[in-house]
Amino acid sequence: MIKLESVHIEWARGIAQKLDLDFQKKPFVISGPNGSGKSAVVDSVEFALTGQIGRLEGTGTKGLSVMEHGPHVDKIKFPDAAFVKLRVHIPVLNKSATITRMFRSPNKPTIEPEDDDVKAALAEVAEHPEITLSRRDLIRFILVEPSKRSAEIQTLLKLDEIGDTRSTLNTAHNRLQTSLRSRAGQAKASSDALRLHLQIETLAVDQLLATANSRRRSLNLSEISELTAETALDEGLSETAKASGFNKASALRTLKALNEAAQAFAGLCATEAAQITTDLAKLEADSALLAALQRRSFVEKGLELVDGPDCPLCDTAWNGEEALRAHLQAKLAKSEEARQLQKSLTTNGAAISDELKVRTDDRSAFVLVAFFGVPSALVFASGDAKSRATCWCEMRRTSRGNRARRSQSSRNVMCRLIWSIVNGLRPSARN
Amino acid sequence: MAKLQEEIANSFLEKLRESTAVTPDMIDGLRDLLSGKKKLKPDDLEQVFMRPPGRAVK
Repeated sequence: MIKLESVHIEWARGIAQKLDLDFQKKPFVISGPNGSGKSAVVDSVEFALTGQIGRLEGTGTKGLSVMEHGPHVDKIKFPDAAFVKLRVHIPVLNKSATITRMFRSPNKPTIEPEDDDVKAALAEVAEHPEITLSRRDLIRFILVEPSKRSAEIQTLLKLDEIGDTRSTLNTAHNRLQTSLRSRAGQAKASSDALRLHLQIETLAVDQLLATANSRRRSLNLSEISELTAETALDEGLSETAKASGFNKASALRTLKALNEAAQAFAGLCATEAAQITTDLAKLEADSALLAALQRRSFVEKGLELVDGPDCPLCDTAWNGEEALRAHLQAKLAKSEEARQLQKSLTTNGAAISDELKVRTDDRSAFVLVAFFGVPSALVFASGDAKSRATCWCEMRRTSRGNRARRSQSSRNVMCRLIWSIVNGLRPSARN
Repeated sequence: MAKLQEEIANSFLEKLRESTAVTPDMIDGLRDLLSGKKKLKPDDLEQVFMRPPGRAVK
C-alpha cells in the first residue's frame, strides 16, 4: 500500500499546461463541473504508477494508445512535453519517492531515490492495473444483475484469467472424476478376477503372497517376500520358459538327419516287397484261392488223423480207408497253387524281416539314444518283439510327460519317424 | 498474468497443498502451467493430475 503525497501534471489528458495537487497522504475527493479535468487527474495518477491508462484499454478502445491519446490535444505532436510527476509515501519502507513518467516512453519511469526496495515496491504497484476504477466500470458494476456480479467483479479487478482458469479446472475436474469412476470399476473387476483366480476370499497381502508363492514353487520360481505396487507375480516366468523352450533349430537338424537316414530304407528289399504285393493282390482277387488256402491246413490235419473208413473231419463213412485218403489228397492237390502262394509270402516276408533286423540295429540306435537315452535304446535294440513293444510304450509315455522340452506335435513326428525306421517303412512325416 | 491473479493462484496452490490427494509433483506441475504463457487447457491439467495407469496383474 502506498499513499499519495502530491502530483505535478503537465499536458496530460484534458489538463492544459500544468496542475499541482497536494494530497498530504490523505484520502481526497476531486469535484468540479463537466470537462474540468477530474478524470484527467485520475488518469494521470494511474499513468504515473503503471504506465497505462485504463480508459484507453478494453472494449471499444481499438486504435487508442497512451502515447497518442495520453497527451493533451494541443501536444499530440509534441509528446515530450507531456509527463506526470507523482510523489508517494511507502509506509512499509517508511520512505517517500518520486516517479516521473513521460508519455513518449511510458515504460521507462524515473524513480528517485533509486533504492532497490523502493523500485521493488513501485514495480509491484505497477503490476496492479486494477488500481484505478473508472466511472464507467463502477456504473456497470452497480447496474449488473446480482447473478452476474461475480463475473463483473472479475472484470473490474482484471481477473478474467482467473475465471478462465477456474472454468478449465472445473472441466479437468469433471474429466478426472469420470476417469476415476472408470478406473475404480476396472480396479474392482481386476481385484475380483485375481481373487477368483487365486481362489482366496480377500486380497490380504499375506494370503495373496502365500497363494502366489505356492504356485511359484510349483513352477520352480523363487518366492516373493514383499508385495509392493511394482511386484510382478509372474516375475522370472518368461526367463524360465525361454531357458527350457523348444529349440527349433536343433529339432530341424535332427529331422534332417533322420530323413537322410531314412533314405537308406527307400530301396530296401524292393524285389521281395514287390512280390509280396503281387501275391497279396492275387490272393485278394481270387476268393476260391483264398478259401483253399484257409482250408488247406484243415485238410492236411484231417489226412493225418485218418484211421479207418470214417472221415475224422465230418464223420462220413467211406468205402474203406484208402478211398478216404484218396479223396483228401485230391483236395490237397487242388490247393497246391494256394500253397505255393503261401510259401512265396512267407519266404519274402522272412527276407524283409531279416534285412530290417540288420539295418535297424545300427541306424535306429542313434535315434533312440538321442531322444530316449542310452538305457531305453539298449533295451529296445536288443530285446525280442514283446520287450520292444513294452519299451516302446514306456518311451512314448516318457515322451508325453516331457512337455517342457518339446511340443506335442514335434514329439509325435519324432515318434512316428522312429517307429517307421525301426519297422523299415518310409517315414510319413511331412516336415 | 497480472499480479493480483498471481496472488490468487498462489493462494489457491497453497490451499491445494493441504489436500492429501494432491502430491507435490502435481502442485509443481500446476504451478508451471499457471505461470506459463501457454493457454491453460483441460488436457494439460489431466496430464498433471492423472496418476500413471496400473500394471496388469499376471
